[in-house]
Amino acid sequence: MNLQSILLLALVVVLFLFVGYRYVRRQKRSRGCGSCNCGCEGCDGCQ
Amino acid sequence: MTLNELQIGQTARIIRVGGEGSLRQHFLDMGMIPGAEVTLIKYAPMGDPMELRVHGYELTLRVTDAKVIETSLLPPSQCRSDEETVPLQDFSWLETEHPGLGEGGRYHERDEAQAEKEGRKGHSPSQGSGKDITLALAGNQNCGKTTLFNQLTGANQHVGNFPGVTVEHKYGIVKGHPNVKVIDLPGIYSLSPYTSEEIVSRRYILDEHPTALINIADATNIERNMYLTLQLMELGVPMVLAVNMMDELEGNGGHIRINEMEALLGIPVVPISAMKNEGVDELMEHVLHVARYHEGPRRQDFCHPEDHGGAVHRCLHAIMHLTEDHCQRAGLPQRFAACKLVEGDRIVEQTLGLTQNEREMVEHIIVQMEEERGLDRQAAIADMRFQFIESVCQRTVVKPQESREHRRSQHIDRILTGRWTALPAFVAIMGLVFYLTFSTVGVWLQDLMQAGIDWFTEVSDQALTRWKIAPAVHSLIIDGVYSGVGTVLVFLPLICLLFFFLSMLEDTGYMARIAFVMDKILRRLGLSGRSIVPLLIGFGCSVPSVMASRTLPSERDRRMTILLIPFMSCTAKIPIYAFFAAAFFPEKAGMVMASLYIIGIVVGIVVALLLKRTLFRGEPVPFVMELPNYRMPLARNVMRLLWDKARDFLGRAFTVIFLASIVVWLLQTFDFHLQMVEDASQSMLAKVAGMAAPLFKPLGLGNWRIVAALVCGFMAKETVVSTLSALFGSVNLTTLFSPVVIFGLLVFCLLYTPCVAAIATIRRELGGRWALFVVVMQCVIAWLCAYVTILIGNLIGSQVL
Repeated sequence: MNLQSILLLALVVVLFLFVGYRYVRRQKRSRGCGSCNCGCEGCDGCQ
Repeated sequence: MTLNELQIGQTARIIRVGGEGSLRQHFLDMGMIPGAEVTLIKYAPMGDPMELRVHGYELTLRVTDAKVIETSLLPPSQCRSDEETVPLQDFSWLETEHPGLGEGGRYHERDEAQAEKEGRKGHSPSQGSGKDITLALAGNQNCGKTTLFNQLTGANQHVGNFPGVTVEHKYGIVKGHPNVKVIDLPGIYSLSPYTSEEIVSRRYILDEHPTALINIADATNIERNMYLTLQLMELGVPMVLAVNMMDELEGNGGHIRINEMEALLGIPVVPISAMKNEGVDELMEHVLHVARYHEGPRRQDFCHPEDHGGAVHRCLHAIMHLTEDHCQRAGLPQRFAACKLVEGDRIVEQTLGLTQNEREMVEHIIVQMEEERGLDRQAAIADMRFQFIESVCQRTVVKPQESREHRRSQHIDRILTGRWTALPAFVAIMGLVFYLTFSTVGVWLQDLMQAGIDWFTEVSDQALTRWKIAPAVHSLIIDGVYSGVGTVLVFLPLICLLFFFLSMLEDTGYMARIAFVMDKILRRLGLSGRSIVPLLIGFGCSVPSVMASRTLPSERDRRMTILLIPFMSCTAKIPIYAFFAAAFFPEKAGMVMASLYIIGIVVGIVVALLLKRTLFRGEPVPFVMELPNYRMPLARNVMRLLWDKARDFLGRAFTVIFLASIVVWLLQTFDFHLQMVEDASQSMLAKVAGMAAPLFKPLGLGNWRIVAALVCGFMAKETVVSTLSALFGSVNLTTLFSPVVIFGLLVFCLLYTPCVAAIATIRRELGGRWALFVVVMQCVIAWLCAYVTILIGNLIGSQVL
């Protein structure tokens, strides 16, 4: 595997972890409705 | 005669309001009190419910509920027109000097200690200019609270022209005042607990002790709006009355003498136009002033000491004295507690904790009042409040001629709620919405999007090849991420377009008419007309739809509506339908999509009938609803909503679908020894999904790829398409499945468990057991319906062959 492939793979992995972390955190904060736009209190993830 | 015997155009005076419990209280709160004049405007297309005009606004009521209201017919000569001058009542008892509250000057000499002494129990002792201030925004439904909230905070909350858009309180920080928080409460008509949103609002004001209240009232319907104002004033919390839509009132020749109204009410009154941002700064000045200086209402006594020998006046004051110590202990304002005790409010009675002896004394006092007043307890209190309001309005309000907006609404309603035209108009409007979304404009925008994504994928693919990226990483980027996210992004225009049309229906005020027109049909299914709104929103997204069910006044109706929402096909399923329709039914894609929506509705109806006869026996709650005037939707609101929905969809595409695409790619590319596999059928995903595949074998869907996609769909429905496209790659699906089986799969996708966000919302609204029930019920129904669809499809197919 060449350097550019390793760099690209690293980028995807970092992005995956970052998005995953934010998604889980939002789910926890908003008691499960983080992926919507319902505007409920505490659902600051989707405001 | 009873109200249901009235002919269209006739006016009658209410003699007695029958019925019982919270519904009767709600009738009274909405102004259906003895002595009020009601005019029958029309019946809904199927003869029920009826539209009435009372206190200058339109109200809907079912014929069976109208039977409990006794009236006497008024000859046209005795009917009071809006322009007619009514003899002035005796105002001597109302006379007060202008309170000068919220204006600086008179009360500015007071020091903090004095303010503290006068402060209400439960408040923080002082609210100096540097302290945090909490303002609560309270008012009737559809009077512009959320518009004012957005103006104050710069927020982007959704506003609509339908009673009950706000179902949960929202908060924000006032622009330019970092220490001032404002809470947008759901719209309420009174402080009697009738719907869950009224309970939310009342509980907030009583338990959370906001520093001050902004009571927003619709100037074009001030009499009905002031009913809540009086109840808020009884709480003794510093407050300001913001009279909204003054521009509309004055544009139609009406006027309010603000200074005089302030003197009579004893609170600051500020004319505003929330939509045009007029008067909002002045409102903030006043409300911050009353909040900082604890300037509570100067008047809390609205009962005429001479009216019917002062029966209500003496009754209320006697109860106030009797319960003074209990009120202090419970932290309830005396006047409010006394009124609620007379009205029979169980929650207040329990909070006060009266002894048996005290309860009996209170009962004797009330019975005596009923005898002297000649009205029952609830009606007497409502009548006392409306009499006071009438006195204030006679003195301070110059009523407008019929407003342009109202005249326009009457004309439009001749067609949209007309006896013979309402249902065809509804079908035509909904048909047009779906036609534009799925056949013409939507498809054109979708093709445009597809071309953009294809071009981007092509460019990226070439770049990766040029940079000699390793095949595994290349595949991860193109087959995993691009294929997954890209396939779903294509459907963004369709979803935005459907939300655009739904928001237009709501903002114009047509949604309320649909509820009026559809009430009788929905009642046969065990629901009330108001349920149509959450169900229609369900075509957009199940999450706000479940939340919108809070506007329904009964728990039974709410539960039943929530259980039926998953049958309304949400926009997240559009990618699945469009994906398969394009591959298997290219000539009849529109018809396939339409048939899926219809199947969802038909199965929903069957389930509703079953639920009505099993879990939810009994009658739906009465249909008492205000019909707002039609309004032109504000471009700003519509654009804001579209942006919200697009952002939400993009957010999902780049979070859930991005994650799922990578996970699916990993699972289908590696086996359990983390070795890259040549054939995907040896992968981890194939092994795991293969275990559940036998369940789908009778449907002809025993392929592990299909099962894996359906499981991923639980996270978000769009991932079904991204997973399938990652798993099947360039394989031509038409060679693997027959159109009948694929139609069965579409029916399964239409009906099986809602996504995790919807289930979480259902869990929050109804509890874990109901959420689990929904998951299981939907999966079982989906399997059965898919099976029947395939059976019928095969039968038709064999006969054709």
